[in-house]
Amino acid sequence: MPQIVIDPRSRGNGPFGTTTVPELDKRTRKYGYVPDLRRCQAGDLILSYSCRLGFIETQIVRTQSERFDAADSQWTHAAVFLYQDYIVEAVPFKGVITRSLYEDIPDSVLRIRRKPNLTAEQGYQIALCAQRMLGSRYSHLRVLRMGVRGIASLLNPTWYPEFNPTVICSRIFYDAVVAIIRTSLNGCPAVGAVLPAHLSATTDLVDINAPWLELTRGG
Amino acid sequence: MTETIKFVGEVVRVEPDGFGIVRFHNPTDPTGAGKLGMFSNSTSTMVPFRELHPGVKVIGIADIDDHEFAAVRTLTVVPSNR
Repeated sequence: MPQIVIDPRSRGNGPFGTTTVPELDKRTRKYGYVPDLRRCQAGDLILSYSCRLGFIETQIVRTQSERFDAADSQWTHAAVFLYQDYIVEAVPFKGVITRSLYEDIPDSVLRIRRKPNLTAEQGYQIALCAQRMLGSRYSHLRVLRMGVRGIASLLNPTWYPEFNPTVICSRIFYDAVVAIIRTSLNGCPAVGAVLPAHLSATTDLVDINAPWLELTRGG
Repeated sequence: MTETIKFVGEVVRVEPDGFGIVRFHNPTDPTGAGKLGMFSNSTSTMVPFRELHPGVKVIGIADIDDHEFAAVRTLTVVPSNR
C-alpha cells in the first residue's frame, strides 16, 4: 500500500483550494501553502521527518533500517493531533509541547495516520491520554540520557534510541490506543520500544490525505 | 460479553503514569493462555504502586471480553515468600 505523504518539496498537482490562516510562522507564510488540516481528527498520529536530517534523525533512520524497509524507516518523529492545527509532542530540550503543525511547513515531510472506526469520543480520549502520559513520562533526565547515548553512538553504531523523545512519543501513541480501546496495533510490540517505523508499517492504521491549500492574501 | 476473572500473572511493563501490562498465567479461558491485561491508574486499583515493576508476580481481578487486552480492575503484589 503506497504511503500518503505531505511533502513540501513536491506538492503534486495541488493546490486543491485556498485558505486563510490568521497567524503563521514567517517561513510558512512565505512558502504559501499549507495542508488541509480540517481532514485531521483528535487522536490522529502525525509521523514526520525533516527535509534535511540532523544527527539524531540520521541515527534513528539507521537503527530502524536494520529491521524495516526504507519507506518505513524514514519516519523519525511522532506526535499526536489534538484539535484545529495543534499537536502534542516531546522534543529534545523543550520537553512536552503543544504547537501548531503548520510550523513544520515547509521543512518537514508529514504523514497522518488514523485507527479506523474510532468514535470522535475515543479519538479525543486517545489525544488526552497521550498528552497526560507524555507529561508524566518525559523528563529532562531522559533528555540527558538521550544526549549521553547520542554521544556514545559516535563510538557505537548499534546505539538504540530508547530514551529519545521521538521513541517516547511513538510508545505513548501505542499505549494511549491500548489504554482507550484495549486493542494492539499489528506489528507493534506490547513490551519493548515502539519506533516510528512500527507505526508506519502497521496495517491497523490508515493514511489520511490532507491536500495542499494555497494561502490567500490576508490569510 | 464481559467475564470477570481472578488471575495470577506477572507485570511485564509499568510506566510512571500508572499505565502497565500484565501477562496472565492462569486465564480461565483456555484460548487466552498468555493473554495480556492492561491497567492504568484511572481504571484500576493497585496496591502498592511503588512495588510494581516488570517481573513482579501479581494477583487480581480483570474483565475479559472480545478486546485484545483484558481490563485489569484490581492488582495486588504477591509477597516474594509466598
